[in-house]
Amino acid sequence: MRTVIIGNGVSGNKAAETIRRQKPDWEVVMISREALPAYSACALPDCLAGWVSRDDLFIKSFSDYRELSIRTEFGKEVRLIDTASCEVVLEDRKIEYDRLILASGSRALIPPLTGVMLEGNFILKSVFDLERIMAHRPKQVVIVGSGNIGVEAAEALELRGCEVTIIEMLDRVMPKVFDEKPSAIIRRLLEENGVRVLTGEKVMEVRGSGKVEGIITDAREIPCDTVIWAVGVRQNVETAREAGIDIGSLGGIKVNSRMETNIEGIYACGDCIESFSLVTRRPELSLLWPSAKRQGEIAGLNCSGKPAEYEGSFTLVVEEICGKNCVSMGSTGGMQNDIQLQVIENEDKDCYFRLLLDNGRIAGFQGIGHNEGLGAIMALIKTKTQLSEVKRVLETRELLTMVPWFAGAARYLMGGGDSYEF
Amino acid sequence: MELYGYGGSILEIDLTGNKVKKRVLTPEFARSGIGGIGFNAKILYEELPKGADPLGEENILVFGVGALVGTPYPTASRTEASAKSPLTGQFGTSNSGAFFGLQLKAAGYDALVIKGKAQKPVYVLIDDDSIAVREAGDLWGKDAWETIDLLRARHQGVEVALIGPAGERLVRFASIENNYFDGWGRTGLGAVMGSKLLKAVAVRGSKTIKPFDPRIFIEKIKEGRALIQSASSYTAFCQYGTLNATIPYGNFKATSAHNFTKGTLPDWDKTAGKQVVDEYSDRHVACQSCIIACGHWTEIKEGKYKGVKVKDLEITPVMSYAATVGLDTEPTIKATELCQRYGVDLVSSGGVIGFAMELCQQGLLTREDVGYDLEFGNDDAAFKLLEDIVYRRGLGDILAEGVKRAAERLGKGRESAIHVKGLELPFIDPRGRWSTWTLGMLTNIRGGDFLRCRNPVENLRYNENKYDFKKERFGFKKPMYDALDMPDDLKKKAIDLEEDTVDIAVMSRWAEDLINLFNAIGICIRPPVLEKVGPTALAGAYTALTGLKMTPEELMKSAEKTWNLMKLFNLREGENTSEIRFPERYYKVPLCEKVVDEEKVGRVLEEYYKARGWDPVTTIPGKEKLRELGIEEI
Amino acid sequence: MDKRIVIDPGKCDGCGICELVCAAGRSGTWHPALSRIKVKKDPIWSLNLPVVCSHCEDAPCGSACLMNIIDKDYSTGLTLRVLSRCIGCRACQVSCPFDACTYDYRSEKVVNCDLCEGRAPECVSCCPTGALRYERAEYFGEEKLKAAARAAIIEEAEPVPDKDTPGLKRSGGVK
Repeated sequence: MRTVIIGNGVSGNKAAETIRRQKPDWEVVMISREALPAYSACALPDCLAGWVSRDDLFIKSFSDYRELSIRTEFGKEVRLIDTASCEVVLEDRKIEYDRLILASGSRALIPPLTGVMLEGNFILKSVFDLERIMAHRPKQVVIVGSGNIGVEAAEALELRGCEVTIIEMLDRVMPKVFDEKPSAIIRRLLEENGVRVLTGEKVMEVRGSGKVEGIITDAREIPCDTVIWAVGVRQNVETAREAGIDIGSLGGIKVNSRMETNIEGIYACGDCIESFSLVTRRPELSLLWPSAKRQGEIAGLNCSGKPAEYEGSFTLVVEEICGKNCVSMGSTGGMQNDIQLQVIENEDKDCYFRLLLDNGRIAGFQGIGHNEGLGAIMALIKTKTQLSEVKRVLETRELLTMVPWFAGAARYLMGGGDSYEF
Repeated sequence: MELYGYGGSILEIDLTGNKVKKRVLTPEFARSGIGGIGFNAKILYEELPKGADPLGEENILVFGVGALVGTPYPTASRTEASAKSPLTGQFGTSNSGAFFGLQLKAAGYDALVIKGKAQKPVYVLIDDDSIAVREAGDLWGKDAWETIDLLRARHQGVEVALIGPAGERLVRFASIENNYFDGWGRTGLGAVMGSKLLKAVAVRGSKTIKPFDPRIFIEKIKEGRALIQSASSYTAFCQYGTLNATIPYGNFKATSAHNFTKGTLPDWDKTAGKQVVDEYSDRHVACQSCIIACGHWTEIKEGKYKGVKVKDLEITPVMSYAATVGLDTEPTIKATELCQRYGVDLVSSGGVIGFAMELCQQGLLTREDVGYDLEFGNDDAAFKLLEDIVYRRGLGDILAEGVKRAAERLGKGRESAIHVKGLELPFIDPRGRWSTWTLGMLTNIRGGDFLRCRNPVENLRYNENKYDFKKERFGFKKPMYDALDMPDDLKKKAIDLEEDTVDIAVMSRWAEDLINLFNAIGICIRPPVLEKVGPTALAGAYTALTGLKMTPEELMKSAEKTWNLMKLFNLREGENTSEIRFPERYYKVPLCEKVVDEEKVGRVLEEYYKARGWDPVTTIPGKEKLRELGIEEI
Repeated sequence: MDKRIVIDPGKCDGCGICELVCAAGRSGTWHPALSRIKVKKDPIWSLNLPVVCSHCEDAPCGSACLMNIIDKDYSTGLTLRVLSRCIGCRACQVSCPFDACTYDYRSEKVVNCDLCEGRAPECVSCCPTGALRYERAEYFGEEKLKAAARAAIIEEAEPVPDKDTPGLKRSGGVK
């Protein structure tokens, strides 16, 4: 029995490990474009900052694959997938499969503007990108996009002594995971640390002859020697689409809760799929490491004959920005335009949090500077517990000791400022 | 030189100019005071100018953390707060446990000194090295519990020392609350904070204490634990805490019932007996590092006071409100919550309310004076009066000055003002039971209170006042005598095994110094600890923790020195011997046909002063004694 | 089944000795923040609750870890960390429903209880009330609490999406 896995990210690796544990005698082959063992893409900005060494980025070494009896075809492109003959066609050979797992991930986007081909334009998705940026010795940097990668890269480069500007097209930083108020606090943190932040501005053109010399937005011109594009990703699904695998409207491969695609024997997991939200049950792209890992595990289990259901993806973003722990989980106010979410918030110079409630249940949480009781909030969001139930449990000590996490969450429901009347 | 076992510095904040100063804790300073009350006494004696107005800018408030706090040494949690008292005009001090001390020490400070006065209401936030004085406009006016909610929501993990509305309005017996349920209650330190416009001190620390010899220190911790667990009162105390004593004192007719007019009340056992712990409480709560856990989570589940949740059912609130004021059990529990929220001393507030009630009973105060009917046992009236006192309304404004000044201002009721030196007296009534406790109320540095002279071999079994007030019955056998950690020659003088007596004068002096040592080193004075943990065990623990070698004798000497410093402070502030007497009632009005014989007690006092090396007439410490203790008079 | 730290919250009086002892033993300092067992206190709910890593079977911390350094030791069932590669992102701490992870602010890494490296846990031997015991629990940690949660709070979760998403074609052959 041979399973072929396309992709060497966290999703593909988790799938491979899961299969290996379930079926010690099966053949597992992993194909990857990059000729590197698996590494943590999330930690790339930490490496840029100098907090993590390049070696520590890797979560596997080449010998680990050997020890797990995983055959590797690294540094190779997949030309096409022949679902009729059950073959994956590489540039130099064909590999037959009994099962196929697509974990091809996503690639960073660079919009087709003038000047993006100049030397000095970068993305930050792989170890090679990191090396290229470091070799370029950036001094004046413009970072386009203020998501996770953009903000982390900004802090990292500012620490390295660069002059950094973030340009965000929407009206606030980290718009996908933070609402206006917490986003404003994050903006203030960045600005107090020397990062210039421009929001509601669009990059029109990169200027320079031969190499990057400046950037032109719809409002001004900014001189710089480096541009890092962190505006988003595109799913790597072209090969799958050509092979007849259904792609969802959001751009990811369509799968059911067992990570099965529309073609029997072919599974998909990770950045390249269209997932569904654990909380709302609606389709969503969950481009997060923990989601990819979990989906890989589900795919691996189902692939190796052990049925498993995916509970849905859950947004959890944990970022230390300028020394403050910034957390966003579940739904944000910005996401749910049609559902009225009640907001409870509490602010102090030291820390801030907001809870988003949907019909008496916690739907989301955003916090800055808070570290405790967050797992409790997450459990309440995931189990969709009614706050009236929380109150009932808190008042009955026997119950409370059985579900102790409620006490941890209670502080956010009770603390000063605007407290929630149950 | 690196200092082991201590936080390392003394933090000084001058609220007048928002100036912050950190003084390095030197080994000399550490040795001389040990910690806690030792540091407080030294600082106040040396730095507070004579004649300072207790409610003025010049007064200094000091929080001293015990030396063993921050370690798992059993019951090492105590912090002492001291200042010139607005109530007595002399050394004011109080001690509290819970968790404040650990955070202050973990922030790196063995003492916190607050000087000056802020321009508008502020609170202090101590976060390791970062000290901030912040506006407290939105906190001022709120009760203590509301304030703590707000501060803990704003600053995660802080412990808070704060005042309620009573301290803000300079009620002379206002307390400093220690988080929700504990506090530095006596001598009006809350008013000192209020006069400085300081609403709260919030502290959290992340530094660690380094023991000098961890291996030996851990041995000492185990030794301390074993000692406490072997105490004769250990099991009973773990079960019912201080409520073990309520029924015995009722039997002795030595409660503070109805402002010290009755000895006990008819249904005392039912209202205040230890069984109420079983009725209203189902869990115990401990202070930091405590293995006894004498606190009780108390909840009233139905009736008029349904929903009251508090850490309570200790003898102090029970005596102050169930005996002095004559309330039933549930109103007494409610009274605890009110006093904690208002930030007011349980004993003094109960005493003041009892005082007013007695005056009403005697017709010296009328319904018009008060505004409503006020009689013993009436909880609505008592709580209304308490509120009037806290907010200084009408008669409450006069009562807020304490019973001594209230009687002066009213021009009547002196006989009902039960205090020594202005500090309202708690139970026990010495006419009912005479012991080291009751002598201690006269000799206590801070005024009428017994907490500084509890002796290690005290017990509740006997009440035989047949020794001319000189002795009390020992009541134990030889093993107890042998196990008592006291120098042999002193022990022989203090306890006569054959006669089965304890010499009150000699024992009082030892007990006071021992408790001073406890308050300096940071452990609790509850009976199981006091009985078993003595200078020998503490010297071992202290030396292993700090690396500063101290023998048991040196430790006791340091405690004695602290006591003498406080006495010198009092003398400097005008203490005179005429203040050192009980309320007239104890000498003149018989209770169960007994009175306190002033002359005989006077002679015991002389013995006590001699034991201390003080002049028996003037009570001034002798020059030799001061030299012996290494005190230079200022 | 191996032994675990079993907690009886009804007996805990909040003395904090377990925290100091754990911190001293495992981090060389005496500060409760560095303890791997934490006593959660909530006076409003009269709660003293010791919380320690339950070594859940399906550990949420492991799922969240961005460096994949959290794994189950299949012989002991313990959730262990390769601390040398921890970058201190705290995703695991936020994911733990029991708040049982501890952030070591000195090394900027997150740690959890490892039962004193498999020896008899110090906290258990120092607990004065017997709230902590070291024994074989019938079932412990997340599973027990989930079961209790289901019993206490009957809230039917919404059904999982259909196994067959409408419009799926089944094509191709599988060997």
